Amino acid sequence: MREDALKDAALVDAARDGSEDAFRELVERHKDRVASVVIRMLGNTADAEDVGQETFIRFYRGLRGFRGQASVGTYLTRIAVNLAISELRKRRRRSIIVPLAVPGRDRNEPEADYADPRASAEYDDTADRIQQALQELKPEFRSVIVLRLMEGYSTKETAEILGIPVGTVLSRLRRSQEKLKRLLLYSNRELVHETV
Amino acid sequence: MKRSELDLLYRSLDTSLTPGERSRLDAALLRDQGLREEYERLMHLRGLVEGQESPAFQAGFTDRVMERLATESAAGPVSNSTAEATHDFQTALSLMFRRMAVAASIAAMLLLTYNLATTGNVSFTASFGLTEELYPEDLYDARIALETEGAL
Repeated sequence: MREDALKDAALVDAARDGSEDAFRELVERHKDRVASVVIRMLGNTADAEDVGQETFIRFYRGLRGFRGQASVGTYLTRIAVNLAISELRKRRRRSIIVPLAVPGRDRNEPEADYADPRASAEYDDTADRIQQALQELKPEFRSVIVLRLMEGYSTKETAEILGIPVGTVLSRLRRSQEKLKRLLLYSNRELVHETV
Repeated sequence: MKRSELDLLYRSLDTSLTPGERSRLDAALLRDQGLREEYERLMHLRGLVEGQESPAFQAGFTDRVMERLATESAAGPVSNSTAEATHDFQTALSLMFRRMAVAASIAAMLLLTYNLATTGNVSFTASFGLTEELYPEDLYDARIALETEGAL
């Protein structure tokens, strides 16, 4: 962990001095984290790729101002999640219903190149339902679920990334889980736990 | 299932409880079957959400970022700041319009209420402060005029 941070710091310094290779390596090291956040927030759409690229472009432009108070990963997550929330609000304003693109299901979207290790119909079905349920949440609620439950950030880190108090994260988590519970557990008998 | 105990249950999953809160929750879980079922449901839900595979961008993402960076650098840094400034201006304009619309709606409602209250007349014209206008034709009696002219 510490080694990663030191490597990132060295790469940031080199990128600041104009090294294109250093910046390329930073993108390579952190693209999966950014992808995970933006695709979960936006669905696997062209918008997600655009927001992913924009995240790194903004990071590059802000390199001089980056003081390393947060790790590069957390800093990029913050940019990515804020851009994704902004994109979701724009979508809502435009009243465009962006279809949920599940890899290989949407003919308008190129198929993502990640392989599903549990490539079974049952797993795909559950993943689709979870992704669809996530899309039902408002951006500010979706972001806490993505960061806290899916990306594994602590409640405090989630609050820092989103720039909101811990209490707000907790209340949003609760409301989001109540909604997800209604959407996933009560509307779908197959997903209900045996003990329930 | 008590609301306060349900609150504790939710909080326990994302933040640390005080020893007092922890023992209250443990006691409630032992006592309350409904709370235990809720705990099972929550754990199951979180398991489903947490267990999702991490998605990734299509191959060549890094190259596309570097290409875009090169293109935008060649175009100069102004484009981004201009785009941001335009976006900020649009947001500010939209916000200002909303505020003005709300203020104007409130003012219109107050005016309508005032007009209706002062005239004591519930009609469309009264609500807009309009008087029942009299036109010359309303005052002109054609019969009298015709009599004067000796036509009748």
